[in-house]
Amino acid sequence: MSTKQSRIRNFCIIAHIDHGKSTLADRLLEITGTVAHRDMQDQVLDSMDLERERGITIKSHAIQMQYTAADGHLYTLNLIDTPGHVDFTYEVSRALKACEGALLVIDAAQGIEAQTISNLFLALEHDLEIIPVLNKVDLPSARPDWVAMSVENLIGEPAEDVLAISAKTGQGVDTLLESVIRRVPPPAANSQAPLRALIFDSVFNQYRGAVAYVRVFEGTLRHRDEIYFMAAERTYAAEEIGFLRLGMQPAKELQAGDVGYVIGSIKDVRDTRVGDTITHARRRASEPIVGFREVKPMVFSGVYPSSTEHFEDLRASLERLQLNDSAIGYEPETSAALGFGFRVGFLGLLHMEIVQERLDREFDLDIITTLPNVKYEVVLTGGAVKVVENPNHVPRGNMLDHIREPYVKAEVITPADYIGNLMKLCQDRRGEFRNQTYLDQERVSLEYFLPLAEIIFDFYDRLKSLSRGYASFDYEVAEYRRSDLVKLDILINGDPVDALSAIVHRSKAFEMGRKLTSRLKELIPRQMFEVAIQAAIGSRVIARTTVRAVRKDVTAKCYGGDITRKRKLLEKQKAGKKRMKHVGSVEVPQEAFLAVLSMGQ
Amino acid sequence: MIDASAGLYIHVPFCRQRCSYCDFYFVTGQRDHSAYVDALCLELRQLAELGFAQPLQTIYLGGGTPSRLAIEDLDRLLSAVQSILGVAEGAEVTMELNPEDCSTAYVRALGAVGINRASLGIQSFFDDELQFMNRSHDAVQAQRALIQVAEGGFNSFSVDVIFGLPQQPPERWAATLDQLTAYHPPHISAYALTIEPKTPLMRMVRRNLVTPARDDVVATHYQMAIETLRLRGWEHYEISSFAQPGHRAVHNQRYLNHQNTLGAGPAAVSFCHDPELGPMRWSNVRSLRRYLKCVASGQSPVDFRERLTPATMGAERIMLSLRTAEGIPLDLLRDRYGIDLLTVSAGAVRTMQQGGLIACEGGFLRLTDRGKHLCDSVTEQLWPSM
Repeated sequence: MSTKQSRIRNFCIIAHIDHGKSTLADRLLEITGTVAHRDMQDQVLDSMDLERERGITIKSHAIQMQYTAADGHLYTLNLIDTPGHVDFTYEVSRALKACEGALLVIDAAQGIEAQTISNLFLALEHDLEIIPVLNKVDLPSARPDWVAMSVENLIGEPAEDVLAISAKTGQGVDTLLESVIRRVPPPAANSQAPLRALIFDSVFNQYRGAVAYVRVFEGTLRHRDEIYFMAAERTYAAEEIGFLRLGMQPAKELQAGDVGYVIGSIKDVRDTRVGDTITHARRRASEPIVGFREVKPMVFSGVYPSSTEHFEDLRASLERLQLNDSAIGYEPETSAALGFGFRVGFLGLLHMEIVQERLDREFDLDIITTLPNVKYEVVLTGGAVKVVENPNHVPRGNMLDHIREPYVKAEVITPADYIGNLMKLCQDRRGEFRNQTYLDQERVSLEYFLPLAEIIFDFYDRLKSLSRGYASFDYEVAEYRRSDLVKLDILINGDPVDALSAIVHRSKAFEMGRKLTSRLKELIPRQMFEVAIQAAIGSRVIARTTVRAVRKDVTAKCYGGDITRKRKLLEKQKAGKKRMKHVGSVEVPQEAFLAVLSMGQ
Repeated sequence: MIDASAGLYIHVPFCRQRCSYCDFYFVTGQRDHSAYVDALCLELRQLAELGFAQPLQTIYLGGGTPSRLAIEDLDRLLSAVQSILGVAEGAEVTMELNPEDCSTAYVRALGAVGINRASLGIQSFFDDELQFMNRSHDAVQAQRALIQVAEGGFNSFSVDVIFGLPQQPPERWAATLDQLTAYHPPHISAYALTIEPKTPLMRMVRRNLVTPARDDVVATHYQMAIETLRLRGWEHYEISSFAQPGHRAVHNQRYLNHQNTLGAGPAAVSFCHDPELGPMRWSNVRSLRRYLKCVASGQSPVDFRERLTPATMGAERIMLSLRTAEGIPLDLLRDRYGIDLLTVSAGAVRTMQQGGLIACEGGFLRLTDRGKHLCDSVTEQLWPSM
């Protein structure tokens, strides 16, 4: 190993949302002089407005810092920031793969959370050196001793060795940097071997195309090399390579152990897939880096422009979003109620919300999204299996044998006080209890098998409110299971509204039908005719409400002067209704389609 | 030109007190109206410059309360109209009257100054209802005025009544209709109480002092009026208007037919087919003080002007004609404004026809009795998409 390589440290920060990951990253950048104090914008790494606002990291980021350690040597530190949400577990695993060490940041007041643990296990799987850190020790509510004890219980790090810092004030951050130098191993690296570089993230640049963020494991990547993407099976020229400082800093070569970027006139981020391995086109590595996976959307929803003429705008926006976010999948579909739109696949509900918000903010598109659903396996009478992403594609009648749905293995970590509440919640969501472990005297881990469909709704919010915000939750998809699922249709004046169909468990169909119909009754304005709203399974109506007809809508006086005024009033009313969707002759406001999203409570 | 004739509306913006539901322009507390009549005469000269060849077909004095004007003022005003604009032989000359102004002498004198049709604002025969509406008369005055007007020697007269008051039981409305029809007024205007913005009534509703009648209750009252009056010999020829044969209000129909109608006085609206610009509508300032100032200095009191496109004219024609018993003249709509209603709004027509709200016959599309309750919704549905 060269001296250069022995002075590289590649590490990431693992933390639960709000435990101070971004603040710590900011402090590291400042102390190492990577960013001058006066240029400090809060949370430098969270580059999307949305990330800054929500305090969630959505994309992985990386930044290189130079640090002169106590031993007098200059070290290169590559900090790889990881997404902070369960929807992005795969991206997290690739970012961890690029590191040798991880800072496990725990809020000294809140303690360990489920997400921290799940990421910790991921880090352990990758054999990372874990440096536990208690953050926010300056808070009055901090209980560092108690939290340090649970850290000891969890990973065996002696409680008294756990670092205590305040990322906000900078207290203890110097010591932390020294720990990184001392404890995180330098990359094991062979610069002579055939090139193997792992893509741990990619972003799309309007002018440069796809930019791959890579960690070189073996070999040396030089400027202008011809490179080959092993999973994408594409060849490009490395037109520019370099290091990730505050901006991109071009370099002549990236050696084994380095973290940097590669640009190569790559028009589509789908060619720079997270987890793919870059090698040389002529001297190929025999094996790619293990662990590449196609990212598969888990949650699907219809996305429609609120006015039909914006369909092409929506298509263009989704295309552009996909350049940045290869996890989005979409296909055109049509709905009798909503017109032309797309069935869009997301990694999870947070991902779905993010995409919706980006469509709204960055593309200024007014959209309607339908009730999200998971991907079902429909088993036909002949034994054939059909994968269904849209409830309306479930075959009718005797073609259908049964439906299988995805289950997840979920872990809930909660103070013991709330076990009862949370077990009830899991049971209500058709959960299957697996295990219960005490992490320490106060905190318990519950393990459940839960249908994914039951947690994509408001599960997380319910979990938080039932535990006063203390419980945390994480899951991974486990298997498909046969369930007693039915398709619930909503009919308005006898016409089924495809955009409101849902696949639900039979035991919940009645309640869901009742809630949906009564909510729709509130949202559909009275019209010239009575409007019947029904919920039905097949031909069996299980709930019904009626919107009374308007009995009187007539201007009494239409005297001379009133004509312009009256006309304008009516014009305004008509323009207001233009935004409504038509189901048969019934005018249904867009809110009705959106409101069902907030059902479930 | 489509229409060379004209009608004239004169606004008399004086009232004793403010009716709780009223959103017309008026002032209270004025006693001397001669200066106002002077101003009207000046404005008539401005209107004369529009150059109508024909004398006026109709004149309508509305308010406000025209019966606040003294006979001398009325005489001066109508003489000015005659000399400045000219009045056609047999023209309908209507004046609105409030019951408290209807002394025998006053009513008798109206004929002599040229008023041949009276429109009496009774609104109700019940004191509590009149008080609720803050009318300036009571039930006894209402009865007495009706007799005075019925015996006043007019060619025709009309009575205004209001239904759908909060908590008005159907029997009350039935009794009002009974008392009204007992006097055989040739014309009846029956209005549903409307809660207009910026009225005392709206403020009471906002403060939860008044709960408006439910729409199904108002609908029932309206249906009672339609059925009762029809049975007793009145023709329901416009949403709120009922007439015995030969007694339809001619002036009002000018508005519904897009015929030229001039307006004089503050807030008055005029509609005219301009030979160059086509159909125009304009209105005067909604302030007596500013109106007087403008007219006195020889300036135009107009503060809003609108040029109506064929599409707007078509939309208005649909809205207005739908209010009439005959309905929408489909050929006229197509030939004049290029709207082939049965094609462009085919879906809405079919749905509403099946729902029994409209009927189509003899080249007209009209409301059924059921449809009359939903006139505005039907209009909106029929309007071609903008």
